[in-house]
Amino acid sequence: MNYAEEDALGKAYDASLMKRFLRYLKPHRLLVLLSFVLVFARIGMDLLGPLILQRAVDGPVKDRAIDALLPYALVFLCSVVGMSLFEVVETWVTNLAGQRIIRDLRLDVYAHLQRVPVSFYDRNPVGRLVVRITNDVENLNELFTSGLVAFFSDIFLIAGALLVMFLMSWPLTLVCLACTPAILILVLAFRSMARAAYREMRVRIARVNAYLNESVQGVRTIRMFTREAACAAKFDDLNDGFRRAANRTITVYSFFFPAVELLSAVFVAILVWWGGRSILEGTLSFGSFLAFWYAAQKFFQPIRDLSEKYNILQAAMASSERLFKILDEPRSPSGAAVPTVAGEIAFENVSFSYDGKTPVLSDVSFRVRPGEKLAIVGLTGAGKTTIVSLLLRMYDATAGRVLVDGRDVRELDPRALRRATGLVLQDVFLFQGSVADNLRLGEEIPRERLEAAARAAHADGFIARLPKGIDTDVRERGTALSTGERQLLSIARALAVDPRVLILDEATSSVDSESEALIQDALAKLMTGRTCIMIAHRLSTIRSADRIVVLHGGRIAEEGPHDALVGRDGLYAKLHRLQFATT
Amino acid sequence: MEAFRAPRSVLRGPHPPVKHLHRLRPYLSRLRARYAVGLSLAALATLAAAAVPLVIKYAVDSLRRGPTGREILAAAGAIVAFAGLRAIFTFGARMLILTGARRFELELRNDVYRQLLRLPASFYDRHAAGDLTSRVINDIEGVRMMTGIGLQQVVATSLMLVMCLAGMFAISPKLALICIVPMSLITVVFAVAGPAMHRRSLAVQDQLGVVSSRAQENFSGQRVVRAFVQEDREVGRFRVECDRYLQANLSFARLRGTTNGLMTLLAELAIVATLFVGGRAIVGGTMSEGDFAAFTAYQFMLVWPMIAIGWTITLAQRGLACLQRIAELMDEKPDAAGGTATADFTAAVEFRNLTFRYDETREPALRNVSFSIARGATVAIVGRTGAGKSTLAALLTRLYPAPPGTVLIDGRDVNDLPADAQRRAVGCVPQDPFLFSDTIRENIAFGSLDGAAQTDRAAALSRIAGDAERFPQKLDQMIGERGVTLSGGQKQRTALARAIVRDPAILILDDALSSVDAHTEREILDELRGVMKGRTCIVITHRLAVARLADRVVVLDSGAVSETGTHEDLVRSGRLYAKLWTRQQLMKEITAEGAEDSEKPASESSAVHPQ
Repeated sequence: MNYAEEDALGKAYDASLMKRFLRYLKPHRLLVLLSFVLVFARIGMDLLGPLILQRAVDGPVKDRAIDALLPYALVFLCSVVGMSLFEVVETWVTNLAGQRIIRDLRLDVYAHLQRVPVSFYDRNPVGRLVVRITNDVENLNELFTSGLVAFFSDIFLIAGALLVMFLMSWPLTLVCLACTPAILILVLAFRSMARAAYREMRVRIARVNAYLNESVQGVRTIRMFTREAACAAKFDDLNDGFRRAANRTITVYSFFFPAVELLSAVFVAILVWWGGRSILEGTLSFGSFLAFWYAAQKFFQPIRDLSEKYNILQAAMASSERLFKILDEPRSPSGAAVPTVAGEIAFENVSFSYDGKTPVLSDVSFRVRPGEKLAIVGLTGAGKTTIVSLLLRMYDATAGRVLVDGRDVRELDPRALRRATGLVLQDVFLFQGSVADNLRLGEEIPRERLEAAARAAHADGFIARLPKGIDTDVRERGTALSTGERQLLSIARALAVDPRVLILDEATSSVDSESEALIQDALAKLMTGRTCIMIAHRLSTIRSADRIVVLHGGRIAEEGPHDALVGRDGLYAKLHRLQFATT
Repeated sequence: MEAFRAPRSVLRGPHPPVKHLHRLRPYLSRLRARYAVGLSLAALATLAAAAVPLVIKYAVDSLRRGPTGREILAAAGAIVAFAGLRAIFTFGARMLILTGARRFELELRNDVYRQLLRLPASFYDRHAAGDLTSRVINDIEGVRMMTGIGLQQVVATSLMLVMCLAGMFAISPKLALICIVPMSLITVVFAVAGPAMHRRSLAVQDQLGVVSSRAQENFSGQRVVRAFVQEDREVGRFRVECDRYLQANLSFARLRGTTNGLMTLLAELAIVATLFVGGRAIVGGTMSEGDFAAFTAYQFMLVWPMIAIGWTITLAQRGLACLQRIAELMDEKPDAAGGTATADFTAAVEFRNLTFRYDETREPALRNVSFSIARGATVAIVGRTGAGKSTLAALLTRLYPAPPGTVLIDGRDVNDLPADAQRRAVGCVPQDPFLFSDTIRENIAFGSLDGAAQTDRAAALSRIAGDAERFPQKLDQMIGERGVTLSGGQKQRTALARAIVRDPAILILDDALSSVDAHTEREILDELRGVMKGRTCIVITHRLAVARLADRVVVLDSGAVSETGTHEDLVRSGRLYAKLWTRQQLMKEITAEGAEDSEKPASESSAVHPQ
């Protein structure tokens, strides 16, 4: 993880980001509203306490009327029970709202990532995207629960407590307010010191972590070069740097907590002194004094927590900025037309480069008639897979055109195009779900056709041996399918969908000869009557092609049927000998 | 500290054993004085806090007698004075204990790191790097929490508990008993709900892990997802996991909310009871207002210890679980240091009937391999991937122990030689070298036995110096994690420099220049011949044009020696080596024939893995 980036914190409040975030609250506005109502009710109940206390003390207690005390006690009891109850429900509702909001946001980001151009993934490492979808979204949960709700809760509490304090004694309230700047200054000073110290600590532990990780991964090298002592010395150094940074944090915290307590004690002392005098002078009742004390405790509590909330808000803002940046990525371009797909494919002077510098394909032209089978051969890195990527419109050609049934693929809806194309990939990817789900892949295909396809692809044998047959979950433990079985499944998948165009990216990995025979037979069935583009490695596949295109360094070096190319004794003939002649 | 997350697997199990605690003794005994003073200060701070209610009692009672302003001022002053004492004591206690715990953490972590460097290569085959670093970072942190803040809390809270209870009972045993009931229920609630909350928070973490790995899988497989038009279905699947995560979170939040609410209720109930019963007692004249005020103050102070008891227990459990994982690591048997026999490493190497398995359950990586290399000779080893070539290198550098009497240097079994001395005599360049995130120069000097000498010469010899000229910082350029900023060939040449800078008696090039173009490789090897005069060279390679330069070629096939001889002999024999040679000649022609001279060397692998 890039530490500098993940840790970079900006401002704690950004109006435009907040506005965007608030849009996610809209669908859950009733819950959000209920959260605020509950917060309001809880704080109301909480502040009822001191008011009752004042009346009880200045009333029955002062008058020595034991029996009159009971109603006050009961009301007090009710307020206490009510407050606890509201607290519980508030936690439930707030979390329900917060969790729903972040689920929506997470799904939005995830869904958007399914629509951005494939090249986005070339630029953004997967690990970082995962951090976005987990940590950053979690931070926004904090923005709701600890940010918005807590913010309003604090405002209510401060306002309500001040109100009670004013009602009890306005001069004492002024004394209290005069103390507030001291606490604020202490809290703010602590915040900036603690944050600097804490960040230093995080940077240091990240270094320890990185070095440790490097040492563990490179332990063989360290051993081989007998550098154990030197590495240990360096580790000690880094570790000691971390300890020093941690000690600075300890110092800041060790100072802050006692300082806050001392400050509250000073405040209590002022209250005792001033309040005591007022009582003596008769300007303040004992009950009012107690109630004031109680309310003042509530008043200072949110002020003390201020720094923590600020940090949460700051982290949440940084996270929301990163998330909205993803959501602002443009979607991949898309045409609207749905292809008819009779199965004619043409590349016209196509050139392509992934990075804009190194050409991968240069001026490639070929045409495949409906029902024709074309094999593409060449060394690794010749550009074979890129041809498939362009045909499926994962990328757009840098120059030239790719045509399907005479129409530029850029005019077509890429998803409709892909749906109309059968794909048998070299590394068979199984999606989560049952075998049937993997054959169907979301298309409406009746079960009988799936079973027929599995039979035709010779996949019925091993499917029958699975614990739940075709309904077995492919990710379940113990359903590990062999390479050959996965390839048969991939062929069955294409058979079930029955596309006009078939793209075959043949596996280089070898399977045992029995499976090989099954695969060959299934492939032969699959290819019958379809337009096929095959990235071929097996001799039998190449032989079955009507025509062969030989790619070399991103250009077409030779083209023609197998026998003619072998006869020509050019590049293909050598490749052929390299692959098959000398084993 | 907030980031601390205990290892989950362990916490699920039964209570962790205390038997490992003795391991902490050496570390803690060094901190004995510091801890004694720190804990005493923590106790004094508690005493200062416990004195405050007495001041309040005095103040309130005097209020009733009609006091002078001076008495009130004295009370206010006393409150500030006790608070001041408490602040100073707490500050001292925290500084001493917490920084002490950091010192302890440092020493323990350094020791565990040293142990890691001593463990054999086979240990690393069995353990994931992530798990090991987590032990060194997170588990040690868990133990530190137990011995630092945990210990302080035990002393402070238990003393506070005793003081508060004593104060309350002294004032009014009856009222104290009434209050104790709901207060002790707080501990009960915490004890009951705590483990359940912990389980649910683990469930939340687990489900977040599922969400995270689903996303990871989807992002990595984007091309396939698009190709099969699975975008919407993938979002649907992700939604299911997100909903589960939401439910797990809510289930945790509900329990947490209920527990907190219940604890608030209990604490407040105790206050209501005090107010009511105490109020009646005051009215009835059986209790003074001062006593009442002091009692309430003690009661407020009691709330935290009641919660802290549960917290401290969790800290201790976590700490013990972490300690156990560290103890497991420390109990692993370190790599054998080897024998004490001396050798002058004039470097004749012999393999004698060597059969080797990485572990008992696996097929042997080498079968009955016998050949010897005379001092100063260069031997090429060729064969398919997985033929056992690199295993020979691993045995010569003693990453794995060789069976007795099978690997000999200067006629001595390597097991009789000290491992370090042997490693100093061998320079090895692996195919995928591990470089450190440091400068190029430091990476080369890493191999040097006497500090930084000779790095420039080695850099020139391996042709990395020329490349470095183009970097802004030349040889002092930082190369990023594992050398990411370097090309494959630059990495390999840096690793070569690292090996030759130690001037080894035996140099092993394990497919070491595969990413360097064939022409440059030839040049480098030609120059190396001069440097390596009188040294032994083992060149493991896929390029037979390189093998051709060697004095002798050994062909390995499925772990056994299938052919040996000079290049010419082997080509004439018409066996595996000859076939590989023909294929590579063909490959060369094909590559040369291409429209453009591609930068990338043509796929070596397809040349040596016949289909």
